[in-house]
Amino acid sequence: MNSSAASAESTGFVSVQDVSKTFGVFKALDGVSLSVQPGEMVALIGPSGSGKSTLLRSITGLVDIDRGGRIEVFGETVQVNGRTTAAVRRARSRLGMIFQQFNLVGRLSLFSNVMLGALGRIPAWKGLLGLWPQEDRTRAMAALHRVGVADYAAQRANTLSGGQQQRGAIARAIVQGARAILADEPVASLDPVSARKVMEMLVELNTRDGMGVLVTLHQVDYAIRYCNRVVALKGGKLVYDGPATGLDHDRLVDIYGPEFEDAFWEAKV
Amino acid sequence: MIRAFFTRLAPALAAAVAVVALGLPAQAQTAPTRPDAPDKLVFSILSAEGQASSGPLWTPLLDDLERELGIPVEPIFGSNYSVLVEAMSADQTQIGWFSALPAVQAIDRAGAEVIARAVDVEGKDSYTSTLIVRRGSGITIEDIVACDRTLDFGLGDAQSTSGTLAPMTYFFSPRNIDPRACFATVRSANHQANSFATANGQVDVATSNSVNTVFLTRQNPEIASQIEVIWESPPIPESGILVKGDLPRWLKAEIAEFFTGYGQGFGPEADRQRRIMQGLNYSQFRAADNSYLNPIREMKADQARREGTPPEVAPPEALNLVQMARQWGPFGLVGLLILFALLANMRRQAAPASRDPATVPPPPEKSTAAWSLDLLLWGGLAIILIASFGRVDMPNLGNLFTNTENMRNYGRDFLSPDFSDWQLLVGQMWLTVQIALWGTFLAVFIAVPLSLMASRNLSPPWLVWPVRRFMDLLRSIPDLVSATLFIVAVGLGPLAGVLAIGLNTAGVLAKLFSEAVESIDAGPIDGVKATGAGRLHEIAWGVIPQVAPLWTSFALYRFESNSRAATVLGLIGAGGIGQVLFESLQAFDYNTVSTIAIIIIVAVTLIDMLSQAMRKRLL
Ligand SMILES: Nc1ncnc2c1ncn2[C@@H]1O[C@H](COP(=O)(O)OP(=O)(O)OP(=O)(O)O)[C@@H](O)[C@H]1O
Ligand SMILES: [Mg+2]
Repeated sequence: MNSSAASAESTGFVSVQDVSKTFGVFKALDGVSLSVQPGEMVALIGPSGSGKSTLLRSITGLVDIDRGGRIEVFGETVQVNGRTTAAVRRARSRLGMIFQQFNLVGRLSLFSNVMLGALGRIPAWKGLLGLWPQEDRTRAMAALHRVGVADYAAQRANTLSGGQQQRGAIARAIVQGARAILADEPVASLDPVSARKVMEMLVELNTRDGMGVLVTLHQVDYAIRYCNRVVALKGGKLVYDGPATGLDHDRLVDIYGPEFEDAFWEAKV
Repeated sequence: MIRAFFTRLAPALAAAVAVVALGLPAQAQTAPTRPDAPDKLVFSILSAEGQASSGPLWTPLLDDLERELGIPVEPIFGSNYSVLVEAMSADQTQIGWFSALPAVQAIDRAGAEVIARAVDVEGKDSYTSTLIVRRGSGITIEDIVACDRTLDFGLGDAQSTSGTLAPMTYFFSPRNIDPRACFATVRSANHQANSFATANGQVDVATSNSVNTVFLTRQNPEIASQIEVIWESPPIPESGILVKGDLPRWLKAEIAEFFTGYGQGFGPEADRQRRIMQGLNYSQFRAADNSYLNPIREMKADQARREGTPPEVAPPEALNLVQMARQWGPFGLVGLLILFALLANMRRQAAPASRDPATVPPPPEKSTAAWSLDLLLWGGLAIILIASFGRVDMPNLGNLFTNTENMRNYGRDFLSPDFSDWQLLVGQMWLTVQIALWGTFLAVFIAVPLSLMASRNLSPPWLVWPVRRFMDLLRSIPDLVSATLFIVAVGLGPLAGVLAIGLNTAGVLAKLFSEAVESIDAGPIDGVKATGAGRLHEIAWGVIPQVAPLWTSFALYRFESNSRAATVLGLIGAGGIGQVLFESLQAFDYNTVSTIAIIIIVAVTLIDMLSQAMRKRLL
């Protein structure tokens, strides 16, 4: 723990080195290198199809990257030579992953879904049978309370609104004991009010709990408002990595193409 | 009861009873102490009349045998003789009462030996095959021998001794006649159907036997009175008692002595035994050996000879061509369609020319390739339907309406169901449902891991492919076949049915289950995976909750159809209502058949409703 934490200081909670990913002949990621420090909150932006999801999924080992690249999480290598390593499960349990489509198990109660966060910690057979330790149950309720959906604990996940489900997903990451959050368009399916709540929750996890956050966003204004550092992908390549304040108009047109002007204008209205 | 009593209180008591009952001290006392005596003897009874009626008739005789030998004797009933022959061959049974043809097979296939043959109450130890015509039709043997293709003939089923083998061996073969070349039409049916058809004038001549004549006179006198016998075969041997050849010599001798001595002599004991025999319609068992079945062997040999030689009269050439065209024409047409489809699909689809993004592309059109596949599918189906029209006798559909009179005669008994045995029948129905229930349960048990291994979204291709082929295999073995296999392994009875249903259903369910798994949403699995969960956790929490309602629904649905399948398995002795049904059918006991049909309909409907209600709640 100590040694890995120490190395995490040096390499960041996520360290991506020269990562490419090819689907058939199509290069979704093209030599991306990126390092995020433990306490940082970083926005990942870029037009649709630029490889944002692919990058996040590579970090959690849901996608195998091409040979040549390397991905480390908290100093432990999770992908190298085109294969995931044995460390990937430990890495996953340290990273809370939040998806655009929430990815809760619809037929399970919100509470059960949050309890799944404990799977990586408790003995496998207990997890298999759903024999959650009392301590974890209390923790789950505390997490649900913290994100403000404790009242819905017994309700089936697929009967909840998007915002409630997304907050459930965050509660799951908390129960998991995650030390950093990867969020893939966490607010894209939410109305503006829910979206704000979720973004503020991520900021709170970052500032109060010191969790590192890497979040992909479509809304540039969100990125600028909530994150200090912004990374941009375009066609699988890293085209910007710097402070949010450095994202001027020309830079954005460069990233999103000439049509961006209209889109950005609409978004501001 | 009796058996349990004897197994526990052991040989001494058995011997004591035997001493009192039969006055054979020396034999009775030594028998049970023999070291090579088997623990028990299973006695198979080929029951045409059903366990319900023949069970109580045989039981007292078998109890006497048990007492005599000092070895427990257990009866087992089956309506399908090949199953009983296999059961003896697998040493599931050691003694059996077989009719003549199965007896030959038991000797040849199961190493059985004849020890006695049955003599009926009229003192006859054989019966005869007959040729029957409608009374007053004036048809004689000479008309048949004339061979002028004017008469319609009703033959027995291919393996029927008196319906087919005897008339062939003793009537047609000696006269060098092939019925197929002699009559206008030849149809195969059982004796009763043939008798009805003759009486109603649907066939001019048919085969029958002396036993059927007696039966018919008793049960359907109007029909019987319209029928005349014009030819009778030499005597055909009746049923006999067979033992497995590898039983100890002394035991075989004792069993033989028991049967031949049964009901003989004087005194109250002999009277009692005679009464038991009378219940079975027998007067005595006469000592016999394998040679008493020689007429049967003769007929089988004649059959083999006939089937080995080409027909006497070759059909005319022209007819041959027509027949060939009929037989192969449809295949040729379908082949042409396939060829057309292949050609149409071989041409590479032209890649859509890169268009000026400003022009609107034309609406998509169906390509020749897609069109030819449709033609192949629907055209092929039409061709096969047309070609099969004659093969399944569709032109005779009209008879359904012209022969309502026959159906009314035949079906009269159906309209008066006999509910006197309803408790037994409902009990058997319940057994059938239990077979289906356990079969389905086993199937789910096997299907769950198989389906996970066969799902492309969970398993690597090298695992998916073989598992799928294995599932195909399970699915394609008919449960009648696997049940017969299991009978050899676990004996006659419900377990064989449970295993057969389980195996077959496992194949079906695994396929349905894996299709459900393949159509699930990957998101929740990713969600579970991303928490650091293991492979089993992914399945338990990411997959199972998503497919559980569908899986349960599939399993319930299969349980419904298995309740019906379990009925059919009764045919080969897997027990349950089906067995009683087939036995009643073979005994022409249509009153009971109709009761059983009603019980099955009610039960199946109840199960359907129940499982539908459950499935609705799940989805
Ligand atoms: N499993 C896959 N098979 C083939 N191509 C894929 C697969 N996953 C992603 N791609 C392709 O890779 C490219 C990058 O996809 P990705 O989902 O990472 O984009 P994104 O930046 O997240 O886009 P969006 O903002 O629309 O979510 C896309 O062109 C996509 O079509
Ligand atoms: Mg995406």
